[in-house]
Amino acid sequence: MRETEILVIGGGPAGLSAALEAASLGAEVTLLDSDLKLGGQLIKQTHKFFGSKEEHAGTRGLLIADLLFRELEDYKSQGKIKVLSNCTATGYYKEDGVVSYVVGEDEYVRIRPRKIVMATGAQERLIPFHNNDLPGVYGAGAIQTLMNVYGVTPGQRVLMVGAGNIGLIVSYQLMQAGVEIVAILEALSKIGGYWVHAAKVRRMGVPILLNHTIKEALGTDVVTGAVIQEVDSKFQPVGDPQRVDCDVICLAVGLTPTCEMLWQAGCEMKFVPQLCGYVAKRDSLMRTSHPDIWVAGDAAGIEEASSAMVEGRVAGLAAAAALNYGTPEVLKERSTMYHKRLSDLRAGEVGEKIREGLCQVCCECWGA
Amino acid sequence: MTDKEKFFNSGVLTEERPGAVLPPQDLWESKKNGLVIIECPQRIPCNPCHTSCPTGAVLPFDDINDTPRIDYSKCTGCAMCVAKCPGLACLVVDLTYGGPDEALMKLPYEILPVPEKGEDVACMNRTGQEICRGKVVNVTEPWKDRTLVVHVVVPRDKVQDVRTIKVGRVAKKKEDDMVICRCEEVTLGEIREWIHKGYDTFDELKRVLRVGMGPCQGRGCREIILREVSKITGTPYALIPQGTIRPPVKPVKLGALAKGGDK
Amino acid sequence: MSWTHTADYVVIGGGIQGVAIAYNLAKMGARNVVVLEKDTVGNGSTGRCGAGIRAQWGTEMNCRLGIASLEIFEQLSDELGMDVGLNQCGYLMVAYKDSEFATLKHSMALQNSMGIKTRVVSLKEACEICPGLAAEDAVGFTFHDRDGHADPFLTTFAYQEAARRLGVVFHKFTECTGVKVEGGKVVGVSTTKGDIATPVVINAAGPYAQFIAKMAGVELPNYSERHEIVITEPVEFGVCPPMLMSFTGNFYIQQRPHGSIIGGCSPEGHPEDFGNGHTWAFAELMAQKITKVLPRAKGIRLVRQWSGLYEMTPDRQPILGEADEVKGFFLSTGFSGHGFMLAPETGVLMAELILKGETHLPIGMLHYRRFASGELINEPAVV
Repeated sequence: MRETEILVIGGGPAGLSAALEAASLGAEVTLLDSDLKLGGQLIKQTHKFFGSKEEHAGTRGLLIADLLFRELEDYKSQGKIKVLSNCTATGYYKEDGVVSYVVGEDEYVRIRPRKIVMATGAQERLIPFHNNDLPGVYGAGAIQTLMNVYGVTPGQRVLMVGAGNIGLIVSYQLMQAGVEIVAILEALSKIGGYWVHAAKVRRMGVPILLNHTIKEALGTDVVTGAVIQEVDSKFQPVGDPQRVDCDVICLAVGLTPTCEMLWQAGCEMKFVPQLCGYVAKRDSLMRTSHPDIWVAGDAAGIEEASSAMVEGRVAGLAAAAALNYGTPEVLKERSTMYHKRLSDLRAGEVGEKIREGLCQVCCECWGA
Repeated sequence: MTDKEKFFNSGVLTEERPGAVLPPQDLWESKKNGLVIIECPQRIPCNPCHTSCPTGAVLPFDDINDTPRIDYSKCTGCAMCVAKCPGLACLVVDLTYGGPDEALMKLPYEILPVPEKGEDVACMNRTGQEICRGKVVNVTEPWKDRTLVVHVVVPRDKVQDVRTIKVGRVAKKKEDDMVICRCEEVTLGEIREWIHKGYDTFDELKRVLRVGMGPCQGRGCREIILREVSKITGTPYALIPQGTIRPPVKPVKLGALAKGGDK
Repeated sequence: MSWTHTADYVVIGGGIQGVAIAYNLAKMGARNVVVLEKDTVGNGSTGRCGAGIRAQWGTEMNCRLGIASLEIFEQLSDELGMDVGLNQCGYLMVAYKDSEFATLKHSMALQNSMGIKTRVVSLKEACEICPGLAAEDAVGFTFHDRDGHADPFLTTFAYQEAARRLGVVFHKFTECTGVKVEGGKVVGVSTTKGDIATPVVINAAGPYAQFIAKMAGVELPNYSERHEIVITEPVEFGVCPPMLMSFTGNFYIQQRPHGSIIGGCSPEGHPEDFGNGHTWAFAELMAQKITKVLPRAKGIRLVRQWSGLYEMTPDRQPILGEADEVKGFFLSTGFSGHGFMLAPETGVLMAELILKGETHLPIGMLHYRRFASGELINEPAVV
């Protein structure tokens, strides 16, 4: 059976950072990613990031990925990081700590790591409405993949459901690709994303309909329109439903952490609405209740890519330290630096929700 | 070709013909429960109006291609033929019903939405124009075959013209029809029904409805279903067990697995 | 749900045995029947089983129970008012060794003498029954077309719903913590939700039956083994029309009516524990077995693996009867992996025993006294 010191599952911003950090201390790392190209959501982000210089603020997400790839090349050539792309982890077997994965569709492999960083990211949430399985109903992530990775637009007229950052950003990206946004619906009475993202699309004439939700997708073979409905603060309908013409309905109604393997590992899990779902309890160095498993990024709670990268660094650092890599001084210095950066990123008004969520799942350290 | 012929050739009856006659007026006005009218003026091989008639009022066919003939003294207005005729050519008119200006018509109906008792409906003539309003007083399904007989009260002077009704409402899609588990095609209504029966854990719903047992293993539907459980039982979402999450996270081909994982 | 402080009959265990006994008690006129389930109904061995139903057994007792159950299954959906998912696709037994084929034929003679129309089929016929079967290495086959499988979830829930209509009360998430005995008679049970006074307790606790028995002072030789199963995505029906089973090949494979293929086997060294864990080794082993006997299944994807407990007895036969030491304490346990298929009949037999003191089929030899007296009934036909 294959073996590795540290298995990082997920090659997005958190996983890449974890792998780089662990390798920088000398650990031998295997990085597993389900896509053909590493980078996770980063490579789909054509907009410039917020944050500070350390997290490459003002740089487009896909270019940040390039910076990480460049760092990765060195470790790859030294043999410290082995990258397995197009490889999807399929299960964690807790009796012997084995992870199974498939290469593409046709090859199945097992690996026994000594430590694992779960950086499995997030999955898109769905909302129920009639005909929600009609071709033309997309998740926002799928549209980003289509457009920003493969250069294909999904349609001509898009109805966006959800005015969080993803809904606003994807609307903007669609407009950049020449696609019309019929409207952006938001069930709450306030947009969920950054105001400036909203202003960017509003000034281009896109209506953002607050207190509106989708009731039904119209069409027989493909989406030809949608029925939308104004709702009150308790999501009860107000007035008559309205019909809009569109050929794409894009759902950007939030993400939820991907945590199947954390459940399989028996990690202590907790439902935290502020972190958008069930997440693993963890200590300040991102270790879960399972002594060999760490979490980082969206898998640990939905947040921005900037903090995912720092969390990845922390998890990679701690996993390597658990294998006796690095000196106590280096560990102390780096962890202090990363914690400072994380608290800066989460300090503002928009970080309040994250802070509330984290205080429900963070413990100082396990069992001590 | 006269206008009358043109109409007739397009499927509109314009005058009495063999196979399309009105009942004798005297009997009609006095017969409680009404009498049948059949508008079937073309010779076609068909006789269910006769075979479905419990009283023998629709007379036996010498040749199955004959147009129907009626012995009105035997007709009880039961409308069994109304619900049976594949051509929806039979209807019953009861002139004894209600006030002096009213009459009851029993019309065959096979369109959604189903008219409801007490509902105000449009009454259409043979060319589909609305000529008056009617009130539904009963809806029956005599043969339990989804052909309904709608009992509708109309102005008495319109019984010679009204031949169908139109329900104003659009067929409303019920929230319950929404598909929640796409892999196994389970609707919200089915899920709600079983939660109300006490199957209020993910495991029980999974077993009775197969929700979450398809290739996605509940990724898309688990949360929606458990929120519904929470709504109906009042248990906070965070306290509802998520059910066991088993490998594989993503389906794996048997052929790939069979080769083993030692590589 | 309000608590039941007294009952005439308390059934411990909401698996197929418990619900079938409760339903039959109520059907025969018993009132105040309560079923206690520590989790949810069907969550134990029943809901994790391979779902097979057969009359192809190797002992007279099992053949009788098997065929009687099959007859009940054939009209069970009508009786209970809910579809139980019966699919009489037949069991195709595959023998890979001459000795195994001899045993099958020996069992077949017994079955035939009891009216069970099992027959030997050729490889050619076997391939007609199961197109795509790769069994050139097999030495012989037997087939009984009335065998098949049903849906264990739906069957259990159908019993539960029908029993409820007859007034049976179910308490889920309610674990039995004690059986009270006074003067050699049952007087009540304690549970995590409260006590119930009752003169009759039926122990149908499956893999936990020995612990419940101990609470009443009765020692059972039962033990539990963890067995695993895999299931694939649904594919068009017909990849595996019959239930395929082999003792030396060590597998059972079937396709659910909605298209998923289920496969199980009994590898060496089952952990004797109460965990419901899963292993990669089993997923790989079972994939090998399925693709060997059904090569065209290679491209079908496995979607889930799980495990459940076999409630074993030393001779792999159930224990039915009333305890000698404790009057009013009845046992319906130790089905050794075959409780689902036998339950419709054993549910009737137990209800008869409890209400009338006698049964239409003699079951005295299934009493646990046999372990002390050494009169074991060894069943050769198990996987």
